[in-house]
Amino acid sequence: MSFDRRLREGLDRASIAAEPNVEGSLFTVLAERRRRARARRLALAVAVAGLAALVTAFGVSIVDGLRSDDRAPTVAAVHQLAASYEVTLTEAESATVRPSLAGLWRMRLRSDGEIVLTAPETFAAERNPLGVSFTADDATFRTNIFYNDFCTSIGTYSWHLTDLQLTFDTVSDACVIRRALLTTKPWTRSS
Amino acid sequence: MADAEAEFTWFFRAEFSRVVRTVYLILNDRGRAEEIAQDAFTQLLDHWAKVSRYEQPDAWVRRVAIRMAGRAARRERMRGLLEGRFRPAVSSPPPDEPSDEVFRAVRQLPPNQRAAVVLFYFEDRPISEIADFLGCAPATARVHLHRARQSLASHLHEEVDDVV
Repeated sequence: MSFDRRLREGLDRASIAAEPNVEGSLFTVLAERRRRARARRLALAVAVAGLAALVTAFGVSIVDGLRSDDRAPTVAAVHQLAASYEVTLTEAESATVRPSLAGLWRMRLRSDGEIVLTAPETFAAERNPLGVSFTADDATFRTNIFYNDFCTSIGTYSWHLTDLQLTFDTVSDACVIRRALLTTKPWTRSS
Repeated sequence: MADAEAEFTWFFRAEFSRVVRTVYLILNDRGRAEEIAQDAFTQLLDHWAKVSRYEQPDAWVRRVAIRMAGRAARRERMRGLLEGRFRPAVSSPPPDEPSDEVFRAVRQLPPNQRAAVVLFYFEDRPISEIADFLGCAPATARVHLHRARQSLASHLHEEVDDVV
């Protein structure tokens, strides 16, 4: 038997030991999807309730203020953010996190919620991670950047967009490296 | 929406086992392989409206799973090094694992070489796709595979040429 054939047959035999529980896993995946959808609805409900409380507390002036800011609903916020951005971090600015974030970062926010993230060539981890996404409403930006690599949770940020810059501020995020990437400097719009 | 879930369910039943097996061969951990495959399919479900229109949606989920497996394998290896653990080159498999000598030889390869071997011999992927899955240049993928074959040939007492 040839060496290549021996390897193929050996791996085929070994793989049989990993026969999974397909139906149980399918249930888990679908349940996780429903749990996330419920969490999103709950977060939205909490945000709406919070807004209602603000309106109640501060009266019509807040509503007028929101109108003057031309705040948009979720889908519109995502479309508003959809563009390419970049930021360059120095070694000094990245000194508190490992691996170092120093270098040029590019981030394309797509209107379907996907993030195409490109790390500097010197970044000592995945440079083009897959499955990175975001959601946004007129006040908050939520993302799973670095999830599975360095983070175990989703980060929530407030955002402010001008013609030239996108600025994030932390609302809640336990992941230090993601906070450093997003909030150290404003991101410059590149397209 | 219901149609999309039904379509996803059909796809899941067709593809999940194969993805788990591939990840298992890379990670050598059955439970972790199933978890990673579930995570990859959860991501797929999040992007199903778009990915289901691709010519090969299975390639998308495999790539996500294999990259996650590669990262997990590298983390585990790094943790082992940091904690001073060092696996013997060919250790005895746990009782519920295959005792096949080929698999034992593959287990002792470094993560990138192991992934290259699994993708080439188990998944029948060409070098260009292996490079894409591993996130490296084709020449680098070829080097991983070449070194893996040399190492496996040595462990399995085989002679091997350089052509793959």
